Amino acid sequence: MSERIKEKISIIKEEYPDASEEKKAIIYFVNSNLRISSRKDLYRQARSQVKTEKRREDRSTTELVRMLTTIQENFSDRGLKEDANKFTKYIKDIEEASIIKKEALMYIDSDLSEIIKREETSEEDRSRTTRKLEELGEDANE
Amino acid sequence: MNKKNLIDYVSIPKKEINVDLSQITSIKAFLKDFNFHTSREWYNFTDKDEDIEISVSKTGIVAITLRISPEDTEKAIALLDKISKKICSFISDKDFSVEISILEKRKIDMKQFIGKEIDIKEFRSMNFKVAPEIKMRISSRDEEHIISFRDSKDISRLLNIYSSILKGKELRELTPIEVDVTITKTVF
Repeated sequence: MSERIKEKISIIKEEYPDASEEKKAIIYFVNSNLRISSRKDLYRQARSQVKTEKRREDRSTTELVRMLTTIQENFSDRGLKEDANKFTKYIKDIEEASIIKKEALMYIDSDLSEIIKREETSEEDRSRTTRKLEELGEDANE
Repeated sequence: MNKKNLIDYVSIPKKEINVDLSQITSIKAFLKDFNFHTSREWYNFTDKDEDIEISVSKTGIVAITLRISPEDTEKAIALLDKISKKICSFISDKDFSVEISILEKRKIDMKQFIGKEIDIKEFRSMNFKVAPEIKMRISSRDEEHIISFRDSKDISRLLNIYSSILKGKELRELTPIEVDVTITKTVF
């Protein structure tokens, strides 16, 4: 789509070298739409990357903590209190670091979503998400 | 334009599970109006407006992220609890632990909440237990806060605590059973 618009702009420029006010306005309008569209694509791409990273963090931390917990329990069962305590601390440190990373990703996700909405011309329907959740909630009763 | 809250609701199976395709087929039928796509480790369901995203990992983690108007947040959490339990029921009848994080855009009187003796400018985050099974954390960035709950079995108790925070009740009124409050000072 954007390639086609770029092509049209170039045709307008070639066919009508003496810029009229109307032509300038058309080119300005198309150009600014192109800029918004490519900005939105960039924000969406970044948001998708942030969400992927968040999911990766959920999964990898779960797996690591599960593994470390098995080791910690093993030390505990064998009466090796000092080693068990060391691993309890490692688990706490990993969980804390993961929470901080996920919080940062949440702030970025939220900011990018606000920016994307700001770029959109249509008014957002406030109750849209709640309505969809209610529909799913009803299906969950079945 | 009203700023929206962001909710992240993650259910983690206590023991690793291998999710098979028949289970995903059942979830697909439940989420019939959602777009579906897969990645290497996740099955993803997204509604057409990208307000709700539901991901199921091949190891059984169910993660739901949604954007919601601040005033609808409590209702959304209760619905999410129900929806998430339904999706988990397709995967396993075993226990899942739950982590809920809410990026709250409404104002919270943190000074009132954490006590007047603490320098609010230094405040970054705080962890504590408010019930035997509920771990809570609050972190802040400018005017925004993330409130996270872990291991909560009782959604109504969690919602009570959440609404207490929004009403600006003091921490001591929530009767935390383990006063393990950590204030992380900013180093910048």
